[in-house]
Amino acid sequence: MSYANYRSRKLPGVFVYLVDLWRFSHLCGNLVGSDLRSRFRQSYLGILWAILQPLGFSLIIAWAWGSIFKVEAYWEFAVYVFSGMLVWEYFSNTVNGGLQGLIGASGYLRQARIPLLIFQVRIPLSGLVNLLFGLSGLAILMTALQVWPPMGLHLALIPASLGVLLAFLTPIAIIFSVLGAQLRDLQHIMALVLNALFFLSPVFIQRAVLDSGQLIILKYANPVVPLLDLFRDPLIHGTMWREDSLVTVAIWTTALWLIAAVVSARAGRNVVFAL
Amino acid sequence: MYGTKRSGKLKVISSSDEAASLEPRAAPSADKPSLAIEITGATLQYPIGAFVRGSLKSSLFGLLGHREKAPQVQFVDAITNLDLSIQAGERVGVIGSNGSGKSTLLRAMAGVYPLRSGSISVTGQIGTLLDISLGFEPESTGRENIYYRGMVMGYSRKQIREFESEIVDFASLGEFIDLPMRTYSAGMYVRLGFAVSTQFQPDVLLIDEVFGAGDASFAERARARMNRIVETAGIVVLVSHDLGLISSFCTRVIWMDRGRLVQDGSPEAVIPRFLEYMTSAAASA
Repeated sequence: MSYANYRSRKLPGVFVYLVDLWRFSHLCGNLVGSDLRSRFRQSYLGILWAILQPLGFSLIIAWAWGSIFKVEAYWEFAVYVFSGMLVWEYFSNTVNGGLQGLIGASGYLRQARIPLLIFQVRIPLSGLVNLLFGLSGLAILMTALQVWPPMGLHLALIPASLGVLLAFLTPIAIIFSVLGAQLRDLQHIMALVLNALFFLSPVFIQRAVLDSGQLIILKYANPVVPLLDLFRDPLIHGTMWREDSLVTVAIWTTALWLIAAVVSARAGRNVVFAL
Repeated sequence: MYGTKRSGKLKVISSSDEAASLEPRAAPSADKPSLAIEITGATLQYPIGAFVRGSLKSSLFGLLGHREKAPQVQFVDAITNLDLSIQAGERVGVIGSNGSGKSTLLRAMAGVYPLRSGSISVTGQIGTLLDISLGFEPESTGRENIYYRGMVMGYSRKQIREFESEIVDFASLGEFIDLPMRTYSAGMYVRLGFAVSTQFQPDVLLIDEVFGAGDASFAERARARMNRIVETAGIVVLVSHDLGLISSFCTRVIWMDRGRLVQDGSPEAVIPRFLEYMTSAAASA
């Protein structure tokens, strides 16, 4: 079984695919813009919510937990929670968005042969733009609290950590978009999994808690733990990445890309029938 | 050259062109393959497994001895072992009763639905008019959706911007063009979809029953534009139940039934036999 569309001259299949990706890259970029606009459309504060929402949540959690557990460094804890929320929101929004990624694109996919990847990559790219807005909010908070990390080479790792997050979350969007279209129960299952994962990740739980006793396994089994480390170490701890975090994320990322390749190859364009 | 990107410059249908006389088609240049659709042994099975997989409720009733009345099929044979060759300059009408596989064939030609076996090769840039109310972002304005729609067709923002005002004029949506599309009526969706989809001239045009777009005043302009676009496209494949339309537009007709090719020939040869079959089928029903 095969399908080929030669627009100008006959090319091997892989080149046709790459040309198509380039041809529809405009669509991907504009859909990312559309995601942002539609999320904050008709809202008075608009895109500011991308900053205010995690900021407000962080302050509430910092106040509540800080009071209950008598956290001394109250404001530093708010920065810790804020940074955790940014990564967690990026992660959970990518999983949830991925589950609906191809289903929501059915109107496009049922009328033209557009590479599925265009709609799969849209999810983590939209999340990255949101993260950048949130990051600017974190910078404002850190400036207000005067808790800037010390100057050093580690600051160069901040943009690199965004690249690591994108590389990690893109295969997640690919996998869940394909499986979510075929197994509609998955969105309900993942809602439970995400709830569990939130409380098993050091988003607002102190990192040291997870390093003790039986919970140490989460350092490797829960990919959000090393992802948070890679994000926080240069940004709020003022240190270089730790080797074990980097290796764990690299293994997870490689495994996820392999799974994404297998899931995509097995489903092919047959996933369109499920939309 | 019929091409859009192929000729290096976009060819568009402008409002003034619609009344203009048709230009003769140029022969394909020697260094580029000529337009064609080649279908060999194509079989397409539409999987319906997801719809018959059942639910917890039916499983529980099953334990109590309840049996489903409908057979538990996993696939519907939408196209079976089809061979077809369409060359540059042909305008092919596809006819058949409901569920005969006409629209599925069109989507397979567009590469939307994958084949179970066989192959389809299309040479030339494809344009589709399959369901023009699909593929809009309801929270975005009509003007923004012009860009999304154009990009679905593979055009860049710059290319679409060039013809934005013309598309807006043709759709005639007034101030609604800058309002979110969720505020549009169904007819307004169709008007905008039609205006964008027919603005650019593809090499291979695949149309599924969209001639009656919009209200009466819009339908006349739409038909004039369709006449123009059908006449100038390199290859046109038109699916319709309107046999008068098929007779007037097409140089060749394909009759399909239950995913198989029944007859392939001139409109004069195929349409009377199809009508005869439909009449006898109605009489025996």
